[in-house]
Amino acid sequence: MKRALLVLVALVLVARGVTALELARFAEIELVGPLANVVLEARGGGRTHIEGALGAGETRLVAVPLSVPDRSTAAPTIKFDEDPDPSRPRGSARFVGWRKDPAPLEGLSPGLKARARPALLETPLGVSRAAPFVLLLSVIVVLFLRRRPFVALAAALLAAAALASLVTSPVREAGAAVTLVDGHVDETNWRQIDAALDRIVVAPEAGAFELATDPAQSMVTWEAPLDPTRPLSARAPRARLFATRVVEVSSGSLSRAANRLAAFDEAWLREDGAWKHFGAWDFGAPLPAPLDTALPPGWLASALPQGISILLARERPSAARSSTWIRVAGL
Amino acid sequence: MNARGAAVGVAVVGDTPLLGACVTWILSAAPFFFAPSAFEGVSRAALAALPWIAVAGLPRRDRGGGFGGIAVEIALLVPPLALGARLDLAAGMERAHLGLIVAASLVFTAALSFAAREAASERRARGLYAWLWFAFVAGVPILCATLALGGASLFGPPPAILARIAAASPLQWICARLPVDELASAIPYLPLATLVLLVSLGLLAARARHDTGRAP
Repeated sequence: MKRALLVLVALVLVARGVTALELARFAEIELVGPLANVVLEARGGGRTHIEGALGAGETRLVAVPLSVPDRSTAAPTIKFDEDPDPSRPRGSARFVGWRKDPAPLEGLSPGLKARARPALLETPLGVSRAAPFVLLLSVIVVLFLRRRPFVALAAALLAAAALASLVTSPVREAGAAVTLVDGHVDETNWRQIDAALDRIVVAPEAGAFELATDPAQSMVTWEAPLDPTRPLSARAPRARLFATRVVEVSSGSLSRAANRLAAFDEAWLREDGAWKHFGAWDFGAPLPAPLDTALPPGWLASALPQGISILLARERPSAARSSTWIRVAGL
Repeated sequence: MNARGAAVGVAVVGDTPLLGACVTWILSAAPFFFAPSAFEGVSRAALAALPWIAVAGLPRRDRGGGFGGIAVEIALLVPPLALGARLDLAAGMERAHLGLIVAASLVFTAALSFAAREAASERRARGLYAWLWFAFVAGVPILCATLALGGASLFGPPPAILARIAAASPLQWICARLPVDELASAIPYLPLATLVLLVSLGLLAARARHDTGRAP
């Protein structure tokens, strides 16, 4: 009986794993103009806004991502966003089917798949405890001045200015958007994770990717422009979003003899269980001599494979890319 | 205190009874007495504006304080609206979308309050205003929401004509802005058309009052 119960629990756990959320399944939609701002809604709450307009007579078949939290294969509901002029003729939007894509992380080794995701730090939204008292004070003052209404209005504006200063925005300096590339020197398929808070942008040239959120049950809304040169973006308020894809690197691009991957402004190497800090490692240069034994950022150095050398490095920042970190084993 | 308020011994704000104004303010400000996480996913600015948009246009019996009364109502709305807008901004809402919510809330409240006050000064206009307000601001949107929420499983979605009329309601517009992931930020032409209709009725009532020389 006890064994049967254990088997049942194991089955439930396996089933939970199998029914993981699917946050970026591509739906093929046939659009016939004139129309603008089509909205797809999946059963279970996923939503996609197709941004842009088609003129009369224009037809287009588009593939747009849609979050399908319950993995249902049912056709999504298609709506039109508010049109300021409802009398205007409207075209049509038809769900053609779900695009059959291969698993986006198929080429990755299990070791790379299992590595920890980047950490994203944020302080919570804060409101001073004084805010409710200022609100109460404002209503008392306005009611007191109600026979001089425009003075009351001026007092309310002052109170509004005071209230606005009592809210503190979340601090997101420490990695609001981070890219982490995980690899092994003996492999050519590496894992790239783009991570962001609230909203993540996926470049059109990115290819197949997998989206995950933390918390896992977050509601994801996609914004998919009709213009194929503009990027997709996914929004999930108060959540961390991770877009993971496989990137191919040429064999031998990173070795101690020469760095042919990217210029790094910070690098650390773990050997025999100890960390060495190297400072900058320029493109094309051999691994420099260690500077000291300063430790790398904790989130980057956690849950790493044991018994193997690990290189951690930060790419030299550029205007085009967010903060990019490299984590390579076997150097 | 206006004549009616003085006669019955009730404190008033403009021509809104003090108690009514206080209750509306409490509903408007209540979300800010809870932790910000309690209303995650909801626009606090839209939440603060909703009670005032619902109450400002309620059909009235007399004109009350005129522009002074409108100013006091706006003065009561502004602090909670500003705090809500600041919270929405800090939570990541787009500025354009937030600006539209704030501007529309102020315009809707002021225009509805003006229309209700002016229409109250003339007997026929008062009755017509009450019907129009019920049809275009409160009644049809509530009927539509009731059918959508309660009757959809039995009778299907509400008739399209009801949905069209409901889309012209300022109250419906602000309710649709409550979820923060609602991205539509088009100018609310249909609700503005409703306001133009109601304000025009108010102006006609004011003109009729002026022509007949009746005291407000």
